[in-house]
Amino acid sequence: MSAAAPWAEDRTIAPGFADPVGTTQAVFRTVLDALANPGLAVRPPAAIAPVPALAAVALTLCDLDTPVWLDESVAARWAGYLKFHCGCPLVAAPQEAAFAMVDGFARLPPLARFFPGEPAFPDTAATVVVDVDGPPAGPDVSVRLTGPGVPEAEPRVLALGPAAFWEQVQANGAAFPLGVDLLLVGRAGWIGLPRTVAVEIA
Amino acid sequence: MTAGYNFAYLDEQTKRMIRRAILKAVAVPGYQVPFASREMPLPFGWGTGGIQVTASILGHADILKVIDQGADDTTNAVSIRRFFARVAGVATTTRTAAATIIQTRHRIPETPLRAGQIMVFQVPIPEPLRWLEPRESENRKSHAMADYGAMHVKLYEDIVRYGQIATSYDYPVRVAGRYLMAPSPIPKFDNPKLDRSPALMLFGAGREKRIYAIPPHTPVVSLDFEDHPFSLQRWTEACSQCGDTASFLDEILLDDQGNRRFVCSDTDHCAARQAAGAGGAP
Amino acid sequence: MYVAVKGGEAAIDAAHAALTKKRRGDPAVPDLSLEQIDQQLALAVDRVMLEGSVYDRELAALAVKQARGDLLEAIFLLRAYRTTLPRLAASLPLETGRMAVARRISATFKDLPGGQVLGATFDYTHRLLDFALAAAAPPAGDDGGGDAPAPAAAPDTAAAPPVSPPRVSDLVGRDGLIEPAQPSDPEPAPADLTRQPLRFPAGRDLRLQALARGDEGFLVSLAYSSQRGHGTIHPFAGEIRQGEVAVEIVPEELGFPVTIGTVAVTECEMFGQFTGSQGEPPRFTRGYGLTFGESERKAMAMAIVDRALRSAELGGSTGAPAQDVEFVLPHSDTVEASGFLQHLKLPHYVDFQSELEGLRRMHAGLAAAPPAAADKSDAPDDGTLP
Repeated sequence: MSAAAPWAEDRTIAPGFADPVGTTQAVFRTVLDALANPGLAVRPPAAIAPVPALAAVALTLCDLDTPVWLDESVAARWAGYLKFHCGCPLVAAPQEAAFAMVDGFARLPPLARFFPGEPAFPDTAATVVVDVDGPPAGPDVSVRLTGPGVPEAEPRVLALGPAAFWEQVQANGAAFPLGVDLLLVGRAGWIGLPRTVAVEIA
Repeated sequence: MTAGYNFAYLDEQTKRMIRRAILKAVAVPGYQVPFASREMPLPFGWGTGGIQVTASILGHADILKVIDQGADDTTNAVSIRRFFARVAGVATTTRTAAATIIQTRHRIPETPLRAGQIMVFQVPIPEPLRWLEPRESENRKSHAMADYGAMHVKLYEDIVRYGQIATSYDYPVRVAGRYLMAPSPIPKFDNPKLDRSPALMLFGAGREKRIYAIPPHTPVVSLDFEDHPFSLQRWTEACSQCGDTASFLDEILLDDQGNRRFVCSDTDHCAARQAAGAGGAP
Repeated sequence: MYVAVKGGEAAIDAAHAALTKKRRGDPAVPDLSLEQIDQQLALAVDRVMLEGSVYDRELAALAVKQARGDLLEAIFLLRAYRTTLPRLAASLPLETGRMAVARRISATFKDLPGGQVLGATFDYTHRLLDFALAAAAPPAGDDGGGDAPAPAAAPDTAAAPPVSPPRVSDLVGRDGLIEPAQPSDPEPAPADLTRQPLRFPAGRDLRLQALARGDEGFLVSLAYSSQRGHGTIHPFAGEIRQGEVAVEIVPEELGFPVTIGTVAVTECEMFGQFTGSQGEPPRFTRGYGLTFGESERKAMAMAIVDRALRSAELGGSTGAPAQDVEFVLPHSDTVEASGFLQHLKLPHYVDFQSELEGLRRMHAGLAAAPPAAADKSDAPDDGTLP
């Protein structure tokens, strides 16, 4: 996240989207596109500026019905902003969150700490959003993704994120239909990693 | 746009709730996500699930097509298309290829869908096991354990009794090798169009309060048996307007002497063929 | 060339125009005002507010007018309006014990603190058509009761001092002969099926909400089936009370309750057959009904069905329709039921065509091979119609 983020100063709360109805619709379609096409980098709408990606996702999907977990650095900067704009309850334990907002792989808790849903209600699983332009946790590795949303003849190849992260994504997928769904946001586009994605680490 | 209502009718809080449900539906293909379905200005059973899904995904840049029984000009399709033109001011079309969102009741267009398009199905009964077991709590257990033996038994009983599987529409499918799913009452003729489609398929059941999805490029298999493979409906007749022999044909009774004609159920497909010079069967 | 049914657009426009004309009826007859509907068809307005889940007499009257008096259609109109409204606050539980009662009866005690207050009721009228009402302007002071002699003077309930008699269940409860009421301020907050879809097994909070919104006819029939033995609860009408009760909210910025208005409600407590278990003495159990306005029949039915749905929890029998939460709740909503029923008017050409094709294929198969051997026949299974 840019250091010039408007909410760096805690005394005032920065505005949300200039056109909330139109922009949240466009952001939602970006997220939908990304999760329906795992591994594909989807460009978010330009209209989200100057709101950074993690906050844009929260403005689009979070409200008083969604408990949200923030990593410490996100919480320090945005807790007030999200409470004001989304009215979402902030929770201290990752296990209790419907959404998690994480700045960088370095600050991502083990995926197993998030709620993976119940066998009868797998839709209650958490959605974990990671800003991949934040602090890294290791060198990027190359992965090959397959599964629903990926054409069989054209697996998607990414060079992003540390090996340890992808190993967790593999373990997450092994529990299907339980498991968390991931959304990676960054300058290069937004990438969905639903629990269905199959990962081969190069 | 209609004064006093939000863009696309639904308030933003409702849209967020439905959008979250859609994302989870995409993440667990074929699983029915419960959602707090709203009353809509159209009656339950008339497409409220599809309307809520469409209202939640629709944006100013979208071009909407609405069909019922394959046709753009059936009364309910007209009514729903007008509803969105009125509350969202979006562009509408009858051309399958021009649409970004296609809301449908009972058909998938004959024109192959492309990547980036979204099909929205209106679903009356989302639970494929409902006719075998009316209790939701029991069916929920079956889905959790992927225990679909009862459905195979039912289909097998059909074969014993009729010599074939008697289900001709809303024919159950298995999505991505896991969840058993009702494809909505499309004819089984349309089932193969679900398999590995480049388009995203969203299903909305308003009265039953369920949303489910098939992501693009996802394997969708119609249930069958090795010795009784899934088979498609076919007609020996051709469309009386465009001459097509490969599309789904509606039967039209001409008199009380048993004379009848057949026409394409998909009006856009038929019109395009006629415009390209195709003639009807005699 | 034959053209399949076309002209949906024009047909819909014509239907709308015809409906507008039909709604107005003969223009020589004066137009109905919303005030007239509110005042003179008050029970229709009550029912539409209740099942429409909006407490607003004017909107409900408008819905009744727009629906040409079809109450189910009016309920649907009001629901479709309600669903777009923002949720501003949740009130504190209504204190019906502090109700200003206009009617209050108990079938379990001849007399009791606060007395029996009959109020305005059809109960003891003789159902004889009152042709005096057919006259253009019925006389002032008409009692509405048909054959009854004109009363000396109708009591002016508005001027009477409000009475807040104690609840019968509280009186009986003191002796431990009836199960205690569940806490009035439960934690977590009650569920809301307009925000979260129904999950089974549904808690009593969800069940009561669904029953309050449920179709009166359906609930009356279910309650009746219970009375006739399909999951009986041997009910006593412990108390029925009608009147105005204050609605209070606690605004975040104030931190203490403020009254934002009053609503007219009808409350019914049914005392069900007593149960006991090891270590617990037998006592009466409760069924609860609460409705807007004077929807008394609905409140009574709701209370019986509520108690019937508690059967499993109270260790009673299960299996009767009124005891089956997965039967009662999904089928109680008139907007859902009426919509799905009427969708059969929509075209089903494609599905019917699919069935026709399948039937023809079966007939062809039967003609080609005896039925017993049908599954082993070498009839082509390529789906080609003969």
